[in-house]
Amino acid sequence: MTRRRILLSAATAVCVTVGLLVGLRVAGVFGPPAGDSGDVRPVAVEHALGPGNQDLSGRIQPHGNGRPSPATLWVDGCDHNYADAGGNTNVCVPKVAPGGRPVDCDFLRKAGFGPLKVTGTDSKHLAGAGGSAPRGATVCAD
Amino acid sequence: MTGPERRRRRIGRRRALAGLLAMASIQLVAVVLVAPDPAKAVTCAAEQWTGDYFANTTLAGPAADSRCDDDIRFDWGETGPGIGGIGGSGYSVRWSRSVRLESGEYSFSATADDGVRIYLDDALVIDEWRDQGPTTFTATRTVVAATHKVTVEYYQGGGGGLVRAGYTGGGDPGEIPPPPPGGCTGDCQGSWEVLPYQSPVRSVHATVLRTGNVLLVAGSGNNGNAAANNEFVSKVWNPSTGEFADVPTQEDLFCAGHTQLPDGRILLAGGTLEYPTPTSNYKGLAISYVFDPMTNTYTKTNDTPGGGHWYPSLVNLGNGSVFATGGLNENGSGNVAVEMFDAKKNQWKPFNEVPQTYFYWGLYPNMVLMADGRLFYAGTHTFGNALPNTSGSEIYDIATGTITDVPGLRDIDFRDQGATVLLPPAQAQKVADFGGGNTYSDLDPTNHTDIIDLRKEDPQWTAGPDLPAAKMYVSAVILPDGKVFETGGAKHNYAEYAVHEASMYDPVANTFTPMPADPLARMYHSESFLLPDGRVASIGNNPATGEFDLGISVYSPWYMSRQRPTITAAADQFDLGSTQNLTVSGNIGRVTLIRPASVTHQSDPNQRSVDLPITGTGTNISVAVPSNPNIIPAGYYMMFVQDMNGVPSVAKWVHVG
Repeated sequence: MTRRRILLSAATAVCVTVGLLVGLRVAGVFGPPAGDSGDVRPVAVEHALGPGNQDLSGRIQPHGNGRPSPATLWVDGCDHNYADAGGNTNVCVPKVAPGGRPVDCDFLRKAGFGPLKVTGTDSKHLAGAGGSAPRGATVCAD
Repeated sequence: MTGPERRRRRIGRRRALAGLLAMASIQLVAVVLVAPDPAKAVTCAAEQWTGDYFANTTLAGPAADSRCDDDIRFDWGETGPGIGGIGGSGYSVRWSRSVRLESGEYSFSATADDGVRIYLDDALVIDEWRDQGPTTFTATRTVVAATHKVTVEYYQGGGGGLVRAGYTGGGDPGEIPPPPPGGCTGDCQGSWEVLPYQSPVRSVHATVLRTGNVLLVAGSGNNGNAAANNEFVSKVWNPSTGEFADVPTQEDLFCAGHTQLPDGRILLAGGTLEYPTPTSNYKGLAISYVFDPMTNTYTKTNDTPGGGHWYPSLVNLGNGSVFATGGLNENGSGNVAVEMFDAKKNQWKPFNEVPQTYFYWGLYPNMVLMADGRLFYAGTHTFGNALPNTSGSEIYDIATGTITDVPGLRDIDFRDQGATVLLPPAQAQKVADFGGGNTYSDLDPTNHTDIIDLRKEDPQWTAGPDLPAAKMYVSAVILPDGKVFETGGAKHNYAEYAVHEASMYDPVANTFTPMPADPLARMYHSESFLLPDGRVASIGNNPATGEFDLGISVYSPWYMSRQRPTITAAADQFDLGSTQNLTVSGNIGRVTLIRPASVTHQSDPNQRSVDLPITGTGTNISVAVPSNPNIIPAGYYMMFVQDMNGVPSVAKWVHVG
């Protein structure tokens, strides 16, 4: 009987202790004290994804949208509808020519270009007379 | 109560007692199982944090465990830190480390869910010890040079756990060194020589190695057919002998970024995955290699975790890491990832261990390491224009992940392919932008230069003297006499628009003096860089027609025709903050360390010249090596001594850091 009581008391004590600890934790008795941060200023509240594009205080202005930034097609300023006569795409037919000049065969020849092959659409109308050469055609050959 | 009934009740009580005991035993066992082991004593490296992890929110009692953490940058969510005895909530951590901090202003930052505190020595810097969602706090403190203890405390009550903490600073750039002695008088123009041999490689990328040789990388060299045939080229050029050694190159490093690592090897990241088509952009590779200048071989590292980078910039940081960002990713879109190479582990850090702002910095953005560890974006780049709603120039704080606009840069949409240079000496913290244009415009480029003093509390650009000619594709090379040589360039990317002009910028007088122009056109895909003997080499030219000029021209500044002082004895290793004894000839008035070039598309964000203050005169002098690693990031440098007439020696290679 005594042994049984001792065992019962021990089991009860363990249960009560565990319960108390859980209860106190839930009640926040062990919660941390609030602090005063002096000259510290909150800068931003972050979200699970993408801390960019947030309205921050002061002059600090992060930019971005958490996704790859759309880039201008042909960031190098070249119109990649054209290749050289050998089909190599390392030529750079400009999207725009200096001084507002039209990008035509006359300009391209003076700039040192040889014949060009249309690999996409003849966006610069290098077929002449406002026309467009089909894909695979050679333009500015003369 | 009958006998059987009493027996049943007795049995029932026994069973209940047994059940209770069983439950208690289970709980006891559970308690024993989850009870933390006594904390292990750990010894962490100087740059690491010692983290003591507690199974309560109050840092009470013995730690459940301790470990070394490289950074305090954890997003543990509801899974917890992975410490035995600690679950997803109800824990706390105390990190500490003792570290030498240089004098100056430091910015401390912490982002936490829930509470966080930062102490500098025993003084509270940030105290936000409360339940809260992920919130970032910053504070600044002025620090005197000494070994300091930095402590970060954090607790997680419930919900997702997140903590990031750190500081930037180290910030005092030191006294501004006196101006260089002497200077050229008479016959100051120097001269160009076109070498009698050509480069066997389309040298889009040039890196001066600690051997004095130059790594020239083409990859596919802006030749789509070469890319299609997997023909990738790199060579090591010996400027003294004119010999070129082949370097087996497995992948297309065309349009990678690169820089010297602290141990003198060269880190390359990114490259060309795909050339453009009528409907798509260039696409970037995520590959990365380390080149060993002693064996002339590449070794592959892990890929950049943030994806592909076509036109990234790599910037050396004071802690030895390498920051990388920018360019186009594997889909041809702007890559907004920040990458960080851990030079000690020889690998790129996982994406989620690097502060991310998701800001698109553009292509080959010119970013300069500031004395306080932040990065200064100078508003120049290669392709693309200023980003919307910006001043064209920003300061990026890596630790806090914040960006601050810097006002005053003129022509922000005409800075494409403009040169950016940290003017000598680096301690002065002045950055200049020279020229630039707009790739997408039919308008001519600018001849404007702008200069900014980053030592000021709120730095702003101010107008500098105009370049002698308006141009883009500008190369700017720091010389050992304290001047900056600007050369090459074009009004537009066609042969007839090459600008044959060069000049010498004097940072003290703030003037440009015209110099002889490179006989060869130096437009797109050209580079200029300082050789260890004090000459400047220029290489590459790739106008719109697709031609590639393989000629090499070398400029000999005025001092090449003068009696040169010499360094006859010096150590090979210069520790930060050390005093070094030099044996020299000549009446020496200035000693400098110039970081060897690693340049592509006119962009070398890491170019810098650091003055070493001198004591003593005659043949035995001593120099003081700066202690701030942000002023002189680790690596091999070319050391020059300059006599009182302003004539510099040939370089001696020393390792710093």
